[in-house]
Amino acid sequence: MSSTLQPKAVALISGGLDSMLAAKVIMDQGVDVEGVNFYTGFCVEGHTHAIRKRQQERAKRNNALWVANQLGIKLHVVDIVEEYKDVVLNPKHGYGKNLNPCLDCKIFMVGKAMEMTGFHGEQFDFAVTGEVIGQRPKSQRRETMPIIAQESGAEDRLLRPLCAKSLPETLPERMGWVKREDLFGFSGRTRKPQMELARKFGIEDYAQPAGGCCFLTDETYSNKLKDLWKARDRRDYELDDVVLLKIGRHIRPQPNFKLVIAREEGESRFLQGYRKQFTSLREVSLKGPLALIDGRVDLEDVRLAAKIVARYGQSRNKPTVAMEIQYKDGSGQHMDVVPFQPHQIPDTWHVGS
Amino acid sequence: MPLILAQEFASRADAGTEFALLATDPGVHEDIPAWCRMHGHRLVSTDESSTEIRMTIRLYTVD
Repeated sequence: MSSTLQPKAVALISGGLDSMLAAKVIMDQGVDVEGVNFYTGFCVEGHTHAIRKRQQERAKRNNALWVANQLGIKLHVVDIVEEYKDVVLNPKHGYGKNLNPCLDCKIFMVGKAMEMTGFHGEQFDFAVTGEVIGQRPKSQRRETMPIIAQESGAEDRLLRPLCAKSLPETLPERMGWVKREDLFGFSGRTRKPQMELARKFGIEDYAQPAGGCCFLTDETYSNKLKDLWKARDRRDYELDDVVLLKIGRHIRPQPNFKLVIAREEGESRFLQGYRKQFTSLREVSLKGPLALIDGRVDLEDVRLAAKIVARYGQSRNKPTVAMEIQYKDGSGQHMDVVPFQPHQIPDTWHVGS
Repeated sequence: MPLILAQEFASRADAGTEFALLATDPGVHEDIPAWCRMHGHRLVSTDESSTEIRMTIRLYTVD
């Protein structure tokens, strides 16, 4: 046990309700809890929430941080982008409906959490997750619970407070660090027991992500990632690749390049940060979206790209549109083009749909 | 990412260290004050221009 003799747990905090409740249940039993949130690059949380102006009515908060703040616990935010690639590219247990390697992901994250030390350098006695048997079809099933415990290396130091009563006793229970009778036996896809527990705790505000906390569960996003691998003829990615897949309209008119076209001002502003890494295009008048070209292009490709991008600007109904091209080396070029009409951009060019 | 960068810097720096975090992500207005409150850092100032947000933070200095 930790040097203070008070048991110490690390709770995986996604920002959703289940992990918040799980941490709260354990805190209320007198355990010292620290939170951890892993940044994979595919997180729905984080800066991408804040980019788009049209989402301004929603709080631009990082929900994991908000949850930790509400609970009054410290939160480790850990960048696992590089290590996580192997989970995404080579999942031992395969993918879910899309490119979501949920079971491998959970095994990896629990394992990483158990390797961590607290903010004062102390070891954690056990790990806590918000898993509920039957809640998720890929990773949260009765059969997967022992797999996660074993393959993460956590073994019986992994406690799932929301469904612990339906699982074998764990070390924290045997040691008396937590009382089994004060844990829960939730199961199934219903959210009612969690909502009822939240109400008992006085928790009224919590995130309710429609598609989970990971873009890899999203079909459109997964299709964009598959397109990226196909275009590059290899299954690999860098952080910028997977961040850009979350942004804009992706159009691939030729196998050798695609366009990332901002859908509104917030995205244009965000894409500006990539103008030294990609050739970019925009209407000279700035009345259209910023777009990036991903791939190797010649002048004809750039002209084609300019016609497509011009179609999404405010000048799209004019006979010609003046476009400004900025190359990666900082050099620029002006090009007058006839904007494409909608029928000239076939659905098959839209990546992800 | 700004939050990760701030936390990584904080893990290597001494108490009292003051640093500036530059971000374009408006989410920092929520995240960084919360992170400072949780970890005992002081958010000294926030300045915003049309292109970036500059937050000056003093580490482990609770008022």
